[in-house]
Amino acid sequence: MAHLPLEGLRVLDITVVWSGPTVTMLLSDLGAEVIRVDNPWLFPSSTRGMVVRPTPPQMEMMGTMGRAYPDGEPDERPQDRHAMFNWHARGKKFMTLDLRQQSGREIFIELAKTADVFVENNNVSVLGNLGIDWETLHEANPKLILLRMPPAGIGAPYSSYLGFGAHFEAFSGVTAVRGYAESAPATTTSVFQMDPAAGSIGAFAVMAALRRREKTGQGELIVLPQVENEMNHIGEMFIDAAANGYDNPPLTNRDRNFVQGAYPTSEEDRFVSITIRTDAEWRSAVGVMGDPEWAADERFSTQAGRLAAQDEIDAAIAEWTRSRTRQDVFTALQSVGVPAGPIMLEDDVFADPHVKARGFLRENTGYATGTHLYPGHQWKWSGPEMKWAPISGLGMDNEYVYKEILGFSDEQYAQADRDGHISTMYLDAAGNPL
Amino acid sequence: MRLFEGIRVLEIGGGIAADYATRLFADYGAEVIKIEPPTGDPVRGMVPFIGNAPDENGSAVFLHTNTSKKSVVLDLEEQSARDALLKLAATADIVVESLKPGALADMGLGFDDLVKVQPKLVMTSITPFGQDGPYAQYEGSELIYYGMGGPMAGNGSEDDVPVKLGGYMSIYQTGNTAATATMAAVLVAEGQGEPVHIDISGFEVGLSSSDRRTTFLLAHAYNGEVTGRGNVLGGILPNGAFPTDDGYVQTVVTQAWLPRMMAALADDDLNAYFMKVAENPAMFATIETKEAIDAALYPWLLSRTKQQAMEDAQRHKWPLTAIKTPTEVLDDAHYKQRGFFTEVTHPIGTVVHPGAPFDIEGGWEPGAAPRLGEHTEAVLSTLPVDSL
Repeated sequence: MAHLPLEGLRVLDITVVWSGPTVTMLLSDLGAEVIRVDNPWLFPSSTRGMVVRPTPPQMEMMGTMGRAYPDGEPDERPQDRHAMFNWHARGKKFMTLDLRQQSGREIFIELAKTADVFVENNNVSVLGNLGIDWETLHEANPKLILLRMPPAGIGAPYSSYLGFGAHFEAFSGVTAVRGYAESAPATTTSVFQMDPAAGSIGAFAVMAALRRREKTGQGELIVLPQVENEMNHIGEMFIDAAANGYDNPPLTNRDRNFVQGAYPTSEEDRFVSITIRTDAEWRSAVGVMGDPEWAADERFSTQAGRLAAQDEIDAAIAEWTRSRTRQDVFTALQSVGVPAGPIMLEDDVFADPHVKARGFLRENTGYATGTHLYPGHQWKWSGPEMKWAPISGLGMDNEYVYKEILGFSDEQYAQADRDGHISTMYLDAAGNPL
Repeated sequence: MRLFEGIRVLEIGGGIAADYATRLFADYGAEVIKIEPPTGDPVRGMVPFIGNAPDENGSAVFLHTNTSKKSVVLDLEEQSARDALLKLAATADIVVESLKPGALADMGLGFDDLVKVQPKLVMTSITPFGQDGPYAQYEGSELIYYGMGGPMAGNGSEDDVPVKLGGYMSIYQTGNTAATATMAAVLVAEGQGEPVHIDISGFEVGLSSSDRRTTFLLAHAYNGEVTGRGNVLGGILPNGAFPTDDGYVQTVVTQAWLPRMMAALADDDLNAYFMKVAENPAMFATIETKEAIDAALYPWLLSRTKQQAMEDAQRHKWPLTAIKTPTEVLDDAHYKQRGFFTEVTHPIGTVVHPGAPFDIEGGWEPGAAPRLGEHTEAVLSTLPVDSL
């Protein structure tokens, strides 16, 4: 019976927000022991929640992202209860360590000697400032693989810039090519595609380096500039711009190759998508719509004709969808091979029969949250069953890491505690729980 | 040593997801052989084309997602072609396919058939909805992937329809995830001698990816909330695109970053307002706070170009960035200094490609995308004549 490919490997993790944590989530799913290192003196905004202990007005102001706690309650341990953290936290071990202190740096380097992989996605200056840069770690453990994920690479004008995916995408071209046609880009905020894009490829890169290490015995440095990775996801637009001098404008939901759109339904504020890629799909769709008179127009029989008449076609299709439910439009068109689908809010996903049949949503339990359904693994396979494990709490695995991995005596552990490394809560400057 | 030296990949079915997944192996050193029908990978027909002239070798989407590969034309309707594919599979480490669930098995080329000739095979099947379940035979598109799997329902204005991302980003992310799963399976196959069949569903890739979707799905499980269109991060502090003298900038200001923005704005009225907020914290989460900020923010931005605004803000560590078009990005000093864009010589002309997804020793080296059937003879002539 095969075992998970990363079983027996240890990953150190000082990641924030989503992209880095996605890398370590995937490595954990595949069997690695992931040790997440949190500094109890520094609450990382937008990682374990937006702020450490939000007030009711703050939660209201911050929208879904501010309220994403079980029953909407931050409760006693908000750092262990926020959805933006817990969805990727499964199976990871959580230690606390103040990396700003010399003693913290020394403990980290000892831990790095036992590790196979170290992942970070902080501002480009952080590793150097903490004294745990590649040269130092490579000397301490030549087999260590370090994945750095600086948003804009290293050593160029924007490399030191700060922000989230939503910021960095702006100067990558990705923001300018999405959104409503002929309107200011302000209506399409809160897109963070850089994170999943970097999360997947980061795990890919680490596994490729682990494979090479089997042959060379050497660790290596991988640098993943997150915007540059994402720019490959609109690569054709750069080729087009360079070759043809054409800047792709936002097209709302349209495509340059075929007719498609998001259309209203009989359900209030719920929409359905339809894509008609070929002449054959056009004829099938027209048949489903009951061969209406408008669709017999000769202009619509070719791709070029349909693309030239998108406003007319959209209006006519919307007229048809407006009196039907999303599910009706979806199944009627798909049953004749035309791509269509409901635009799904969260409750739609939880009620969807395909999601249920595939067992995508899975129960998991968090240290401070109880049991809920969680978004499941990113793929299925015939390989060894991927790890699906409970969610720990801040600092809850300190004894395991300090005593079992690092071999600390009770007295050494007590000293680490006195030095301010050990905590299961975030702390204010005086050392009181926040 | 190239990262994937010695790995051989077959790709069957094409489409952006499969093409991009195998490209990630090809440009890092694997040998990738595209099996194309006589009409070619459907991506060859996609707009835009180099010189805006339709050409089976000139689609920018095809050129981008098929660098460094070989193209072998096989009409799988023919038994001889199916025999050749089986022989090729016997030499491959990885097969990535994007046909309908069951289509390869119906031709005697399913996972179980291929494992008989290559017992350590990794086979990755990419479809819109996965290999089983009620929607397994349904069709997908970028819009369907993002609308069902992604956070499209929460993207856009409350006064308008939900809106997708640009281009084919959900399909690219499906290919990206397929490559990651494939890499993990390669470790299983090489390390333990076990074959692995991977089932990639574009729908589930969206549902399990970290753009808001996963957070909001879990938030729904936690507290029943659904997140429609509009501003999902709250509306007091600046969050979104804002106009400057010559275009737009993007910013998200968290409470932790508010002092940085105020330092950059250096606005007396705004500073005075926040002196009052400090005395009476209840004032913070009010519309007056938003108005006070906007009164300082808009004039500051409108008196600058987007580039100046970005540089001035970032000097104060205020996360604010200029929204640039692809043409502006091609010309940007940052990417020039990075040496990011690379030119690849192709019969169709010089193609300017974005650079490596990640930098690693012996890494990314994009070669020209193949012309349709360019390598058919060279590859098929290496196969044993009667071995099967």
